[in-house]
Amino acid sequence: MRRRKFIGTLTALAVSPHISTTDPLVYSFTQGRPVQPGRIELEIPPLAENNPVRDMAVFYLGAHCPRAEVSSRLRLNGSQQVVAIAELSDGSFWSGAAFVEVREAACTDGG
Amino acid sequence: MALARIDLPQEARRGELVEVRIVIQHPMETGFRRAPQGERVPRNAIHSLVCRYRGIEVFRATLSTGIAANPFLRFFLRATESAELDFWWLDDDDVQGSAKARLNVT
Amino acid sequence: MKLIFLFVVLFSGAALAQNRSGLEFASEEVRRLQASDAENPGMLWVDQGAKLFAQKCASCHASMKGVATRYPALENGRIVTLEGKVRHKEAFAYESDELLALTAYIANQSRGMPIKVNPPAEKLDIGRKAYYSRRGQMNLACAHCHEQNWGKHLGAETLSQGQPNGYPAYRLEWQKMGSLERRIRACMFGLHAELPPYGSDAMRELELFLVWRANGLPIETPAVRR
Repeated sequence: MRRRKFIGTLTALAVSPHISTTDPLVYSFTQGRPVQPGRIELEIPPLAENNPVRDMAVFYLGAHCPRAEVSSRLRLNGSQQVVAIAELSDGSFWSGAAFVEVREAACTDGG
Repeated sequence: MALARIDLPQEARRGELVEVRIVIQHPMETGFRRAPQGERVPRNAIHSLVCRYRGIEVFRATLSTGIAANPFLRFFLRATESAELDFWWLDDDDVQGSAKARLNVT
Repeated sequence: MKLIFLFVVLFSGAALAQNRSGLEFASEEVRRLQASDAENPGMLWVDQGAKLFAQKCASCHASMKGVATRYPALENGRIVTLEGKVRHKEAFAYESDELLALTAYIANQSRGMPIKVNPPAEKLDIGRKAYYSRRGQMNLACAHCHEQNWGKHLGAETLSQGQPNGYPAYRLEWQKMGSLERRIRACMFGLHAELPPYGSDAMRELELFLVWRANGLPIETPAVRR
């Protein structure tokens, strides 16, 4: 049932706790159209370590992908909200978010 | 040429949901790292990846340095017929990579 | 008399009641990553190693099963690590992808098999002494964290026993595969101590002791560690 409204394109971004639709990165994806929270589940471990950068990835799932589920591995440089925005084939946008705590390694490595 | 590991079930029945997993050997350099002598290691990450099944594009990804090194991707496909799953990718240094695996459908 | 006795007690035998792999101290996600050959990034090096082995080594060598359980080994009185042995035909650079791939492949052939390193007792003396000696600006010995305080927290991390059974390992901090020597150097860097060069006597002596200490633990290469 939900499959008919398959996820056409999905963007994963790292942004501030509230999704600002005027944020340039968000705007580039949504073109100003309204984004509603919901329908997205982010499975992220609550504790992680490592690196920076705001925009993470964009995944495009076609009609041949019957399940709207994608996995990858991210790098984060500090505790922050990770946000995902999905565009469905009916043109609607949905979002989900998860907060990830990032801690420094106990010792510096130096390579 | 970057090495990759594609994981697919041995066999799938027609119409079945298939889990596709791929890991690609690539440093996904952020451009922020410094080498032992102190110089910056330039940014180089895979930015585009396409997967084709039976010659048709079924999955596409635009990645950035926020994705962990040796990028891992997992998605689902509907098995329709025995054919090759063809992956292609391109990084910031304009180096292409590819890998393929055969999906056997009964 | 008492002083000599104390010295003997402190420096004899392994001081761990039970060896525990680093896996036991890892998070669920790290354990899951290690357990999945499809998702473990270290397998990329194992794959590469299998190809290199077929190209460069198979003309003389057959199965490598069980080989890694016996390294570091002694050859003519000299301590030889797996890396050192692999370099006997072609001198791959330490920490190069080729050397990491070959050692990862060879160790992976022994995955699940217990480490069995049995050098003459006196060969362990220098490495053992190094393990219990304070070093660096932090003035700590390996034993302070990995023998006396394993299981406790250092920041957000749980101190492990510092076992070598998963190396070469994919370390998330490196975002790459690395050798045991790299890991030892990283630890020493944390202590702000001088780093023994790759392949040096000091390094090999410490490695021999570390692996002997880990006797019985199954090889896990390619392990995934934080």
